[in-house]
Amino acid sequence: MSENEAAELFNGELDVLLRDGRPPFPSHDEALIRTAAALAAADFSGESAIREELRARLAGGKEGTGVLALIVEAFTGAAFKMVFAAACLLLLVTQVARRPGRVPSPPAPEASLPAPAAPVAALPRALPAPPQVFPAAPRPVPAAPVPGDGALFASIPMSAPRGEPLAAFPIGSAGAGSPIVTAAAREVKADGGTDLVLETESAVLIIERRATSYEEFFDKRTI
Amino acid sequence: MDFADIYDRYFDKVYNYVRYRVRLADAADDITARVFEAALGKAGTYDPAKGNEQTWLFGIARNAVADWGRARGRRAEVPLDGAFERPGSDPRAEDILEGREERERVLAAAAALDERSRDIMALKFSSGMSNREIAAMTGLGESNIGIIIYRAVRKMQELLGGSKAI
Repeated sequence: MSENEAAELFNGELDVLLRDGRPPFPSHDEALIRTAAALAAADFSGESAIREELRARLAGGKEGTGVLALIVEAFTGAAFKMVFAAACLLLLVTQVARRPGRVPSPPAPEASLPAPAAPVAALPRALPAPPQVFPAAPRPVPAAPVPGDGALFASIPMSAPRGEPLAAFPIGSAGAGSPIVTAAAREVKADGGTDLVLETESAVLIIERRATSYEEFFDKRTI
Repeated sequence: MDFADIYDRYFDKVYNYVRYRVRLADAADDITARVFEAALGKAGTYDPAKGNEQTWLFGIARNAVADWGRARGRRAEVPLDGAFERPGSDPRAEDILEGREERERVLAAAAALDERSRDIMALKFSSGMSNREIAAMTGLGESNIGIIIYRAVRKMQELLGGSKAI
């Protein structure tokens, strides 16, 4: 019998052995098929130390209890939605609280100041300090002017500007050595108001009278 | 595809295949874990038209063993350290394969085979694949597979002590 024939017979019997779990009888090479049966019966899997652990790990990942699944669940679950909504609300409240908007009206600002005289020039040079609305704030941000609202500068009384009657001019001579010896005044129209032009011997002085805004004098910054 | 079912059905077979190939228990555990992790990751790409689950899984296992061998810069096998002694007329020979020592002797005998023979023997005896399936997987001819198995079993029979030892 050639090797090829022997191999073919053996492989046929081996397939029966592996299919049925026992060697065929009779066999053309009983010793060899018994060796094959012994090899087929050898099971090393009992020595594996990872069978259950690996199964739990893989099954966990498959069934949604793995680390990745926990992360996904954390970002899609109801608890995350509640936390996310709370965080958004807190952020919104924080931003509103930090906005330099309306501040409480100072208590009766006019009562703490001397009564303003009719002309603007009669204001005292040293104004009393305004009420400390934000004592800890390094630099209070001025609010947009709101009519009737207690804005930050409401404590500074301002009388309605008005021009002095032209009858007071010309200013008389101050005598020798005075920089202003003669003057003439006239009122001219300008953008947003009326300018008062004073003319002396050596210069022309212009006093502007026009509507202004807080933003023209102060930077408006928002933190 | 129920992966837990596949795991339960094929873990022993895959582990035995890997153990035949690498002999070392720790390495076999590591490689088997990689096989099933890779299988789980590729489960969505499994195409039944290209082969059954077992063929697919053992294809992954063969690659994992090859990767393991390449990673260590040597062939995907272990040396013959601690190899069996030929039992000869040892009266305990009939108890071979019944315990750890006996299983180690089988592994040592398998390690004495060339790499291709050991791969084919491992596929045959751990999975029970037909020679045709093994031929398709390895790219060899079916009759060639039969010859390789026949010669390998003969060699292992000699190493394990012949029919009296088995």
